[in-house]
Amino acid sequence: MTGFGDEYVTICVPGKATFMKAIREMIEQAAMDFGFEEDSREQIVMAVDEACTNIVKHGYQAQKTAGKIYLKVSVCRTHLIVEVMDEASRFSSADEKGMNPSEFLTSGESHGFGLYIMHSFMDGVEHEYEEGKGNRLRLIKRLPVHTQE
Amino acid sequence: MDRYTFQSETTGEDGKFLVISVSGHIDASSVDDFSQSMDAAIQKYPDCSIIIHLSKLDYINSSGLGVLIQASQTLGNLALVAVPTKIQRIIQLLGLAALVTGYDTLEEAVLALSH
Repeated sequence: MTGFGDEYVTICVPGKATFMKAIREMIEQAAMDFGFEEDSREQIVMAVDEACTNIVKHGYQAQKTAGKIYLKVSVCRTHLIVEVMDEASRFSSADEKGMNPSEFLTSGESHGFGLYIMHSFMDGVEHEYEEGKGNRLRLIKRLPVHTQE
Repeated sequence: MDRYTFQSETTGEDGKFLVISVSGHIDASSVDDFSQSMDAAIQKYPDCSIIIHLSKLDYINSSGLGVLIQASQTLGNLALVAVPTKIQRIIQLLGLAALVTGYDTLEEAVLALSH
């Protein structure tokens, strides 16, 4: 999916951990407005939270830089699209779906588990990086049947 | 309950159990505190069985889940109590349910860890 859909809401927050709760609340409300059931809402919220946490921890904090997180929620035909954008350097968005989370976590490893969650809980994950601008991650979830036009 | 809190106290005969109550949100703003508090509690009471009461936990991110799973795997004698339904769903969806032991009540956990 490459289309930019009808915009529902756009917000910009400082790329700091203290803003994660506000982001989750906004995404939860948007998912509710689009008719997602509770379990799907939890998955969308967690996927977006993991994406934003990666920006804060690995994008801004690790590189000792400050920046913002831009979130845009839109609908493109049958899908909800949450775009998460930053001003950080390029990050890896490798599909970790093949990992075994049990083995992964019991090995003491945790880096990459957030990506696994994003790929597992969403129907699509797309990543673009533009030099000098930052990363754009699109988290895509099929709308509930009763919400689709 | 919004604000993250971490409380621990020993209970049972001879203080055999360490009950840790976590509330609020374990996310990027609190997960480092959670991890450090867990480490400190485990080191302070090395002979205790650990029960983590989660009835007032509203959210836990992947790093927080990692802390719970690793503590459970390392210690063995660790149980979760009153895990909220939405967090149970996430644990099951991620295929982690077999890595932690959960009970509905504190009494059930104490009984199970006593054997």
